[in-house]
Amino acid sequence: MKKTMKSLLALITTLTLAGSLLSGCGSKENTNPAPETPAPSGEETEAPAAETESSGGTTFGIEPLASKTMIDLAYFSGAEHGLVFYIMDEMGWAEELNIGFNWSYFNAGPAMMEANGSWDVGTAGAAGAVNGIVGYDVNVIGISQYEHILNCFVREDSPIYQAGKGNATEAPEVYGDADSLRGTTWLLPVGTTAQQTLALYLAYFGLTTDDVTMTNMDVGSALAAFRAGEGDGMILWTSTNVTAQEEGFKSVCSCDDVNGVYSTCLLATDNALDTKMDAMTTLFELYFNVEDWMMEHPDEMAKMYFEACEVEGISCTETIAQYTAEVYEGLGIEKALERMTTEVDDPLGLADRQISGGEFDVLDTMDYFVTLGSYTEEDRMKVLENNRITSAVAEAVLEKRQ
Amino acid sequence: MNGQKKKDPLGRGLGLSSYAYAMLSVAGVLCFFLVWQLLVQCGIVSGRYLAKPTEIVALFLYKLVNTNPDGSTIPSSILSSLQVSLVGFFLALIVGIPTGLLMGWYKGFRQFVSPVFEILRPIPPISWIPLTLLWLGIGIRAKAFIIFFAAFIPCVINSAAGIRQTNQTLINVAKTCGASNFEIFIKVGVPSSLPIMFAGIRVALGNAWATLVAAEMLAADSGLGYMILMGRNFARADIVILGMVLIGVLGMVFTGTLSFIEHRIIKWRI
Repeated sequence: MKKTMKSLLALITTLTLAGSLLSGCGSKENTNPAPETPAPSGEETEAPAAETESSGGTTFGIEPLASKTMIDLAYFSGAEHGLVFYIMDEMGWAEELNIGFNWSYFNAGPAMMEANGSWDVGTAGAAGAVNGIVGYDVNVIGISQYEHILNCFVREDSPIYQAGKGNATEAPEVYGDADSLRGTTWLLPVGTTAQQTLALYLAYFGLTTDDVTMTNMDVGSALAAFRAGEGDGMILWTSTNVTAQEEGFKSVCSCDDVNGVYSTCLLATDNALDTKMDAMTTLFELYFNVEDWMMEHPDEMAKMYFEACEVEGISCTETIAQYTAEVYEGLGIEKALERMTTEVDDPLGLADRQISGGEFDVLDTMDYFVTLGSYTEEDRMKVLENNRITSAVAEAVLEKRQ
Repeated sequence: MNGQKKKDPLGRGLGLSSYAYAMLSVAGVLCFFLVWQLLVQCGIVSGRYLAKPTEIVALFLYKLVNTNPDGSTIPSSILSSLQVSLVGFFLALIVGIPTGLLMGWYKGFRQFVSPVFEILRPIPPISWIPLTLLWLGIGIRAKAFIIFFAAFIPCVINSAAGIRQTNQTLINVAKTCGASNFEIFIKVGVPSSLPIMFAGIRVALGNAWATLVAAEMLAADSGLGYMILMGRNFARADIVILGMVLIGVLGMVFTGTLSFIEHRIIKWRI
């Protein structure tokens, strides 16, 4: 009996080991779908190239770099501003210009900025970018896009939604009133444009964020908690935002309703600007040309966004991807150059010079956090004095064109 | 006793008075802060990424009454964190110690509970966050659960190990005197497990306090962990360091308090 038991045990152990070895071999390929430097297929490269090829001999007529240059990329997963890099790589356009990427994946601005010693180029929302330009050796070299997918959501039976629209004279589209909003609990990533949106929304009813409770959560956790019945409202962006809409949660205010300038930024580190300026210039041109392509090809963009989300493990559906593509507003190359090189007045009148449109966009977010005491006016002045929002790359592109 | 020289029978130490040893500890702390200050002052480490101790002290004084930049003063942050961590910690003691003692004393119970415990043991407390969110929401219960899990494991392990090391002679004496198994468990096993159990409680307290930041990552609107997270959000290394120092100092105070209680309870050991 004992012998039989031993044999059985040995057999089970052997089978378990064999099974785990096999599953281990099988899962390696599946669990690591994102290549270090993905090599796109020739077919993928040729199709769009033929469609958009210009007289320069490359897809967008940009002059390739003399030799292959590897760029350490801080890739923001699940965001449209990061998607631009995914597309240029998948389509083979980066390779065509002799640019290769070493990918690092991030899903939050602060972590990306702390790791600034490990990357050359990246993208982030305005709040993340401000973190980088104030605290680290990071520069904004371009405004990537203006965000439109950022909403405050409540449940259908919420008093805020039930109070209806039209109670705020300055913003007739937003829901709620002072009574329904006062004392509510909101789930949101504090210290980001989500907080800025909530503050501007509350201001329509004479309230401030002190009149509500803000619980700090990333957007994915906020959605999960809200589903589980927590909080009176939540503020979401990107794919989680569209998921919330699909699940029937009601948007009571959007970033467009509060007229905020929600820019996202193309970033480069000091080191990259010092040692890889040619590559930065070429990448700038490519990045914003790809944005133009994305706006001209929303269906392809949606497809690529869906693919990228699948690869990165971001929750997404084809509908979400399609919606994301439809509302996407990148600047494109001409507007991006213009934004970084056009001068405007400092809205607070603190700078001793005119500021660029890019500076205006980023400072719009920074100024809100200055009013909260999260940053100081001194920080703001340092950003301007040190040209942390620099037009150097845009000017180099313009110079190259002449 | 204080101030008197204590001779170590094994000849270890410098043969200094207890007062002198206490001063050595203070000197160690001061040296640490002095080296830190000099490293930043002399530019060996950038002041942008590591604030000087003097700046941390100034920030501490400022934040005693000011809420910027994270929205809470230090007293309210400490209170909020204490609430979360102590609830989790005491829950871990209440559940973990009896479980461990029963596991150590009753073989049947051990065989029944051990497999599940061994599966749960290696799971990092932070990995419970997504499920906790669904099960317990985002309030204090959820955060306390994360801390409970971090503190529960050492309570169980040490209580079980402590009671299993009960001197067999003591058990035999109790048996000879006619004590039942349960009486022996209560009157012999539990007291003899106390030294090792306290070691576990100390580890549990450290774990509970160390998991605070993770627990407050779940969802928070105040607390020391939240303060650190907001410091990150606004690129304020000084706020991050202040939060860390406060967690460290409060942890040290707790450990000291626990040692005091331990010495009072198990005086007989010495």
